[in-house]
Amino acid sequence: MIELKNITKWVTNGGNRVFLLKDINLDINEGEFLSVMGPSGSGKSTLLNIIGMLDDADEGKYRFLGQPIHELKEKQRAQVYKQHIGFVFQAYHLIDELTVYENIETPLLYQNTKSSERKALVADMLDRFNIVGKKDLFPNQLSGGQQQLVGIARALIAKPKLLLADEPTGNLNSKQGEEIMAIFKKLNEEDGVTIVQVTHSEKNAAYGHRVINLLDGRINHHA
Amino acid sequence: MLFNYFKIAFRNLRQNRIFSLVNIAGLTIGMAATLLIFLWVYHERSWNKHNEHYQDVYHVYANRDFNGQITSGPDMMFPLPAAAAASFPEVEEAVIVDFGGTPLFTVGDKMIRRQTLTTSPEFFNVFSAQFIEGSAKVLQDPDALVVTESTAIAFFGHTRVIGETVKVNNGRSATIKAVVKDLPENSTVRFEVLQPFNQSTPEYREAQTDWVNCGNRVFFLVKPGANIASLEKKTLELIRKNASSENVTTRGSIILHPMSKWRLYEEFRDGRNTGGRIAYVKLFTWVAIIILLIACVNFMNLSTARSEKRAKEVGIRKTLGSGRKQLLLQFISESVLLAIIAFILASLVVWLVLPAFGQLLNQEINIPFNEPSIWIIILSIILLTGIIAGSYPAIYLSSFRPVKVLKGTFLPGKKALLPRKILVTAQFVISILLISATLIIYQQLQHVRNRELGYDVNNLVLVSSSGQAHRNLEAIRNDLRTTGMVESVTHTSSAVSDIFGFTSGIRWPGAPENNNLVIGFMFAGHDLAKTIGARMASGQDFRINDTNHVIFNQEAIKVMGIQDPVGREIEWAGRRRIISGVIENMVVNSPYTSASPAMIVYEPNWSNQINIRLNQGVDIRKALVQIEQVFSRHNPENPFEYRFMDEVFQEKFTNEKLIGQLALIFSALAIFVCCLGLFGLLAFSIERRSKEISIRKVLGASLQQLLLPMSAEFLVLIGLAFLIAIPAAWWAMKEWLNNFEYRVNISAGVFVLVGLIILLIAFITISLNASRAALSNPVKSLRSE
Repeated sequence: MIELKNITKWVTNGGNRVFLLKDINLDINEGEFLSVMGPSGSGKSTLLNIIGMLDDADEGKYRFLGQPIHELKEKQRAQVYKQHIGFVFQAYHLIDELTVYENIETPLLYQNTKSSERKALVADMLDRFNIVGKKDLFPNQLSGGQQQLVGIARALIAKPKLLLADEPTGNLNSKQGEEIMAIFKKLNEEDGVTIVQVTHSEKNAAYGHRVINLLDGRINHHA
Repeated sequence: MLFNYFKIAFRNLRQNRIFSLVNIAGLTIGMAATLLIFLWVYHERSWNKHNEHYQDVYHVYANRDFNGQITSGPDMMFPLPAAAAASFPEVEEAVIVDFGGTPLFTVGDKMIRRQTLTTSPEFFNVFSAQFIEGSAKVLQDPDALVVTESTAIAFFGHTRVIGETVKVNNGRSATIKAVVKDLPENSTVRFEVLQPFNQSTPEYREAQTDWVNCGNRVFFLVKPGANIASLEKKTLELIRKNASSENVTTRGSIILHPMSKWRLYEEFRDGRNTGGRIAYVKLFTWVAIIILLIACVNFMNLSTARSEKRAKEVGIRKTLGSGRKQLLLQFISESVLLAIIAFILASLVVWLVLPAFGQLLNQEINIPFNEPSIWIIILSIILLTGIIAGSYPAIYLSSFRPVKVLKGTFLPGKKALLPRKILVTAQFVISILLISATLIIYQQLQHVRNRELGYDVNNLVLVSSSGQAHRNLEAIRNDLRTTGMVESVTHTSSAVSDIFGFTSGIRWPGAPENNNLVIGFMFAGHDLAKTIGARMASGQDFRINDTNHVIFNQEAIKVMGIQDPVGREIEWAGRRRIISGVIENMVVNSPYTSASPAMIVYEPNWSNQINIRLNQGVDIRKALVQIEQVFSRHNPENPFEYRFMDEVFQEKFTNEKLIGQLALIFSALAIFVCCLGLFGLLAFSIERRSKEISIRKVLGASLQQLLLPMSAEFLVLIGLAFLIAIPAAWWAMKEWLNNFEYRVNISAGVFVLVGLIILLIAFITISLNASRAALSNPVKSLRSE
């Protein structure tokens, strides 16, 4: 599903190139659950952003479902990730001014889904995550765990093939974290959603089929 | 989708109270000002449009050549219209109309004056009117009167008045033959009574063939598409052919002034139609647009200042699949929503202040709801405001990259601050310009009002004279004196603030060969200088039986070049006259021009105005009662009509006073909207820096020490704006003042005052924010970090 070839990214700082990622080669198969680990600043989030097409690599090739992403124009790329990719963030990143219901609905608006269909999809999702009673609340009226549930529901509403999660449990207590990870596992196993998660926790990483370690922008094969 | 945008916009507005308040208040004021000004402009542009032949009616003007000096005037010769209609196929109709007057109509025991025009029978072929009774044909009948609906009601209480007779000026009887609907207030050629020329008088018969003397207005109805320039030339040729000899008219040229320009392009200079009221219409249209732009700039500044807050939302939306276009649309629809709210409030404001605004302009201003163009204008005001205000923030905000803003380390760079600084400076440049302009307009008005007039307008009463009053003038004078309230009485041909006429016919020994001197003149009786409170520079005031005496003003003596004028003889209107004195220059006609030469001629047999000088310190109301009694005794055939000279004089300032008031109102609004923006920016900057403020407070900073660094940034911008605006204001106002011969000098003091005003306003705006900083609890805001 995902093929990364020699992906390299740098920033220029005082005339020197500082590499965030260097020569990353990585294949991820459809239906896989991959955990990315590594110390702070090792390039985990950068890698995730590149996979999620929020960021460009400076060098290298990136094929997603057979399409050469590095050759696509901004618009075409947006089309690809709109259809296939969902994001979950450590800080949830819900829109404060929208209710739970509206937050979940938003991606569908950007895909021009019909109103009746939207209602059905959002209702399903609320049901699935047991948050029907919370649908008219605003994010600041929810606990962190509940907010993250909304975040996941929102990421899944457009039925993505790939779910990218950047330390999804980082702001949660361990019990909430376990719940989230259980949901991820279930998603992966029952719905076949491909998941790539960045995490600091060995325990959470173990939910994945495969773990890669990053160190100073490279995949550390010795870990 | 759009609903979703509006929903989030609405919630944003509710959450950010200061932001919403500043923006909505600013936009409301801007839109209300714009709407008011547009309504006024619409009204000004609607003049005469009710006429069916609006596009094809022309007013004939003559550019008269007085020895190289061109004066444009509408007074034309009597036979012109008939001859033009007969000779030029493109002239469909031509009509001659006098300049109008307010003769006295007597109906039973009612005595009423009405605005009356005297005209040839073609009047209604050129000007439109709606007949209630009778038809346009009745003007063929020399004894006919056409009255308007309200005049008929004033005379008889109803409009079925055909065949009723009315006495005109206590003389002839005329019969009402037609009633028309009242003419709209915005018509140039307006009447309440219309009468045909009296064809039985010798003057009328004489005028039939007089191609030199001019005293009436001529209007042409021209075939659509006619060549106006060639018609102007042909008209002049026609006049030249018929005039017995060369004169000021034949030496000049003809202008056909189209009806569409009568109201707004009413000024002529050097023989060309140069503009007029249109300058003010344009000026205030720009002022309206500027106020609205200032409000839009507030929106831009506050939106971009709030960008850190919105940045997160932009980032999230982009990761959820929003394209830039959709974000642009979202932000634009937010500002359009704001514009709609502001517009609704502005409409309410307009509805509330429209009567007062109309009163200020002395015009009845209506909202033309049934005009489709007004709806287009409303829609475009809303959309344009929304788009202009929203475009820059939308472009700026939608450009954020999600990777950057979602990391939580987003801080707009210095680059983002520059446009905001430029916009704030520009706002204040405009505000300072407007304040300076307003102050200088007021100074000029004050300067002219305080001008040494050469006569005393206080305690001077003008009473309309009549044949009867003039015959009994001596009795009136004696009775007035015995009241003990009146110092002296004289009669004049017009209020002394207005010249009665102009003449070029004065001859005197030693006059230059080719004498084209044009001098204003008026008639007066004895005790002239004493009554109007003027000073004689030499010689004497008119005395009783000073027949064939004249008084010149100093300017006239100067241009005529007469040495020791008192006692010398001149010749005018076929008679030799003795100069009995020289009066100090008086301000007549326009108070803005320097003194012009004038001659006052002793005329015991005729008067138009009776001037009554009251004694110092008398109770004016009591005096008026006494004066009225005297007049009703000696002048019972005519109504007692009086004016105060100071009020007559004040009428000369109507236009400039209006401009001054409008400038004051709209510049105050502009400043207010500017300060709203400044207030919002400061409030926001305090909110954003709440952590910094708290730390400083903990370290012991005082309120001033907190506010000063934050205000300093804005004070520097205001200072910069001041430096840019002052030269511009100085230049622009110098240009404006050049319109007046008698004008104030622009002093540096004005600008010092402007600077102080601006500083004061800025400091008030800043200190309004002081409480926000002072009351914030450092413990609270530090803990929340």
